[in-house]
This record gives sequence, structure tokens and C-alpha cells, in this order.
Amino acid sequence: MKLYEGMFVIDAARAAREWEETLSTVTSVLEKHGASMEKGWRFDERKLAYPITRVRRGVYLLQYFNADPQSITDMREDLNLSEAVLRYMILRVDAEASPETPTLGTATPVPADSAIPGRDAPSTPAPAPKAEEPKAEEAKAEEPKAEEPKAEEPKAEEPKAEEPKAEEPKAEEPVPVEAATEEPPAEETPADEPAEPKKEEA
Amino acid sequence: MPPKNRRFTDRARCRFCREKVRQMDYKDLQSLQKLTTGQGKLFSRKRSGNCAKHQRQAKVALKRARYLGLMPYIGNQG
Repeated sequence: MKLYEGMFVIDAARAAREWEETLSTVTSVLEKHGASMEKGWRFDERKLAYPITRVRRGVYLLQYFNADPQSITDMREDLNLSEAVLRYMILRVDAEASPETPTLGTATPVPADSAIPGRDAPSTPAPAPKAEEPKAEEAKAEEPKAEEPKAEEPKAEEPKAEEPKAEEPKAEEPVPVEAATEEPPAEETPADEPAEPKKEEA
Repeated sequence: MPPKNRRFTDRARCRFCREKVRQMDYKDLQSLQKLTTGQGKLFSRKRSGNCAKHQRQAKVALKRARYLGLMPYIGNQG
């Protein structure tokens, strides 16, 4: 059993009409060939770059699953015959290289038991910042991975959001230590007070 | 801390190497759009500054995104 990721393009009109049925047909095809579902996301409706079989708007379903490599070809045959899926792509996932959270617009998690949350999910770019924060904390890289590809506007915002995080703990920790050890009453010596904030800023 | 030196060394490298991207993702449309012309053609290595490894990955990622309708085969015409 190896980890795969399947991306399925679904007609937006069909998804709006019968999303749960469509999702269950896709997952049932995968499970029919012995796949076990992992995480899944549904991406909000978006305009296709070009019409596929005269369909102009699509909903994307990203489903991770474990399956036998030999069963993939059978899945492909069934998916080719399926009318629910406009297009699909099944790729092997390199667990270390692939990002866990999707970057394709607004993502709605798809539960494995096909109890689908409706379209009432807030259209906030919540998944992206979630993905960025842990990366920055773990790797402590100067520039986060997932953010750079975004448009120029988020670029400017993201470093701002991260810098204070990195600075705050540094600034907070030394201040109480110095104040406690050197001078418990910090107010008596005004000369030291301006010195401390300077250090913080630098 | 010297910004000039850092910038110089950073610039000397491929931007995906700088961020230590192991595998470019076809779902990462923002970066793909930065690597393509308005027509949807992939920028040359000379233009994008990519290293050979990441340019190959960009090529594959773009073709996958095109197949799934995420990126155009032919973008703005004229």
C-alpha cells in the first residue's frame, strides 16, 4: 500500500446539485479497488482555464488515499467511464516533499464517511496561514515555503506576521530576567529604561 | 545583518533553491503564474532564474496544472 493523491475535476453545476452523491461515487470507485481514504479537501468552485467538455466551471476534489500500485490502473479505467468526474489525476505522493495542506484557494475538508459540510463554509483563506505558521516555527526558515508562490500582496503581509512572532519571545524573555536580577525596581533608574527598549528594537 | 551582502548571495541562487523547495506542486498556482507569460507559456530559465532541477519541476507542474484546467494551455491571445 502506498500513498497517492487524486485530484478530481467535477462539474460545478453537478457539484452544486448533488455533491454528496458525486463524492460518494468517487470514493466508492477508489474503495472498490482496495483503497483506504486519507485526508481529503474540496476546493471551492472556480473557473476552469479552458472548457472541458463544454463545462466552464469546476469544483476540485483532492483526496489522499492508500492503495496498491497495481490497483491504480483499474481505478483509472473506472474513472474514465465515470460521468461524475470531468478529469482526474492520480499521483504518487512523496510524503516528505508534499505539503500537507492544500494551496488551491478555499479548501473544505472532506470527511471520510462522506458526511459533507455544506457550502456554508466561510470563504476565508484559513488553510493557508495554518500551513505557514507551523512550517515557520519548525524550520525557523527566514522565508516560508508556501507563502512565496502567492501574489505579491500576501508576501508583504506574511513576513510582518512572522517577524513579530520571532521577536516577541526574544524580547519578552530577556526583559523580565534583567529586571529581576539587576534591578527589581526598574522605575528608580531611568537611565536603564531607554536602554532596554533599544535592545528590543535592534 | 548586512542586507546588501545577503541580497547578493540570495539573488545568485534559484528562488526555489532559496526556499528549499523539494518538489514543486502543480496546485501551487501562484508560483506557476509567476513563471508563465500572459499567454501561459513557461518562462525560460534565463528569465525566471530557475536552476535546471527546478525548471524541470516547473515544467512538469505546469503541464499537470494545464491538464486539470488550473492553468491555460493558451492564455490571453493578443
